[in-house]
Amino acid sequence: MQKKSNSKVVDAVVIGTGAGGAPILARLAKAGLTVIALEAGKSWNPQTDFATDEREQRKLIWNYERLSAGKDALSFGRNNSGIGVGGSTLLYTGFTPRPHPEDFTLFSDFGVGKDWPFRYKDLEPYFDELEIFLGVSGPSPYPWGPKRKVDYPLPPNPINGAAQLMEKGSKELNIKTSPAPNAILSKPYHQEDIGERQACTNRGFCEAGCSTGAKSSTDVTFIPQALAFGAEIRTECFVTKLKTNAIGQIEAVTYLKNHVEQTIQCKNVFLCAGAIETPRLLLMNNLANSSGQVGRNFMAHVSLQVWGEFDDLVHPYKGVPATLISEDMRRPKDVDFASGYILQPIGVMPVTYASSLSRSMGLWGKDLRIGMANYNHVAGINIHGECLPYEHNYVELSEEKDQMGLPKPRIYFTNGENETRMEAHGEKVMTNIWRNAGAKKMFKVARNSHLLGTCRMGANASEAVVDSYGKSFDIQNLYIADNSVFASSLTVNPTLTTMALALRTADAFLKNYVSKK
Amino acid sequence: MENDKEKLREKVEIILNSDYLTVPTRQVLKERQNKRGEPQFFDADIFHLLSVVCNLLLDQDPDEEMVNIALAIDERLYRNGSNGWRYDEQPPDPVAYPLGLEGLNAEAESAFGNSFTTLSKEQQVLILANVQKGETKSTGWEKVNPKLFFEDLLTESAEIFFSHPTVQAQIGYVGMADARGWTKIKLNQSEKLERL
Repeated sequence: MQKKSNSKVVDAVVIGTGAGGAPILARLAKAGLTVIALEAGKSWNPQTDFATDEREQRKLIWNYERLSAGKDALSFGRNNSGIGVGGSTLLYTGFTPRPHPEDFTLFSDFGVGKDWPFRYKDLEPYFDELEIFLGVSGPSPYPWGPKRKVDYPLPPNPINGAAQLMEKGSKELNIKTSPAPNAILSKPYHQEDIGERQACTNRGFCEAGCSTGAKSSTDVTFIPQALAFGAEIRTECFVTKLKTNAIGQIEAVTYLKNHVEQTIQCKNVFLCAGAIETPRLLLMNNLANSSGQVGRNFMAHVSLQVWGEFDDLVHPYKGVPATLISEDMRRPKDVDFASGYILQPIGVMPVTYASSLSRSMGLWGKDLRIGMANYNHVAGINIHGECLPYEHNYVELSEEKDQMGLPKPRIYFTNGENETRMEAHGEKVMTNIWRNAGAKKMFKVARNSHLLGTCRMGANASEAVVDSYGKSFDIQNLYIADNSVFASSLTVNPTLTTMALALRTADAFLKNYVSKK
Repeated sequence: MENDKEKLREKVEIILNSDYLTVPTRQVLKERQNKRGEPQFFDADIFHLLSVVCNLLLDQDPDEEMVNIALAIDERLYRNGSNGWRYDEQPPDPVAYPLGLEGLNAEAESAFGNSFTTLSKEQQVLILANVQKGETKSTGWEKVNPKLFFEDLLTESAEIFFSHPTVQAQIGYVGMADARGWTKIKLNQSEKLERL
């Protein structure tokens, strides 16, 4: 709902309400700034709007068509961005392992990819803060990575069938597993300015929208906090133009609402629209691109899945999808590739599973029906592994227009040799685990997931779009905070890190802005 | 056989009317269960062809059709709905789907001298298998990649089919009945509804 008049100049406009935009909105509002967030989608009421039905819940998946190109063209499908207040956190599984210190020094350690322009210790306080704020459920002490300053505030979520099988299969191979950290409440949790949220009921539907509020998507965490401090959120507003003034700063943001253009005057802009829409908006406006890096270095994790059919009854729709983790392969020894990956078990909903069997496996007719008849007996393991930035992977504007008359983005993606070798290693490991767990039949689904890079951060304008705090090298009042600023892909799911980056960006901005004000 | 079908019908009724379903879930599933309609995007001949193909893809007996897959596809194309992405190589779905279906007819003509729907089931399956592999013989695939057309049509058909409450009940999925959550989530544990 529009509260503030468009004739007033606001301190900041935040574009997007996902893992990047929502934390910034809350931080700025809390500091007393006038802030407006513009969200392309609707504001959902999970209790009344969300059905436990995958097809219905497609309304949470970004629906402005993206064109997928390259030798390993991504089948965006359910791995696409989210839409609506909460952004892609509406669709994330809540899986929140921290990156490791060595994730930030990829180039120094291996001579490939990029180092980040800061180190793990610079983000560590934000991880500490976020885990408490989100109510992350996980084991303390955590068995991998540096010693933590704070424990997870809640005990781990209960282990489900797929996790039991992975635990069993890994044990015999001496692969260490642990209950996973998930930003999903294992107990009721009360926070100031937000209120009480209830524990997860194990409905397993995290990837298609949590109807109970137990999953810590931004719509039930940072957004209510931001609103409590007076932030305004305008929904179904699609940003099209960023207007600059004589000294090259952005002075106004223009958006379409119901096909009508509206403009907000502002002193600062925080662009948090994700790794496709963020570069798309900058390219459309021909802004912030003196580096030539806007849209470049697109990365998507190596996310191979191996599915097994078991005698056991698994009921893969029950429980938090990934209640276990192994980080033993973050830096595996004696391998022919750089970096590494994490392992997680996965539950699955039936339509998603049918989609994998058909699109990835090519099963149809009787074979597909037989595969689906075994649905209650399947469990999956998944890796998320490093994807290096390459020249050949990028986002550009196509000639084709979408329903708003804006150029559709085209995304090129082809795995390199490092990804292919890592995938082969992961396949071997996962296959061995499933064999030891008693799988009768196995098949793999090759895929890449998480949309990363495209406006990377770095030391200077010759190689990066933003500095280490997310500030544009070209435009003094433009900040970017979302998956697009990732310098490397990291070997973990991105959301926790994106939130940490956003808070760091907000704090750096406030330190300067408030003192000047 | 009749008995099995009756049992399945009963099971679906029990699930859909139980208080294990949230209000929005029940509404969505009942609406889908009762969905009827006429094609608006395709003409009658092409729609018939699409129906035949979809039933082959899901091994569905046309005389005992559980899900009208083609109607759901027609409905999406009619409102120009997108699922948020497509292969860059393909034209937009409202162009690609009719072209691909025409391509199936062209393959049928080239291999067996007749249109797709008039062929035997074995012949139809053979043509689909070749299209899936990209091994096409006829002209008419210049603007649409047969492999990708097959992949997209198959995936959409499978998603529609396995979204249907009857089909979900048939494979033993009762995840929609989660209004009270689940407490038995370990291996080989079942809750009441899962033992129906």
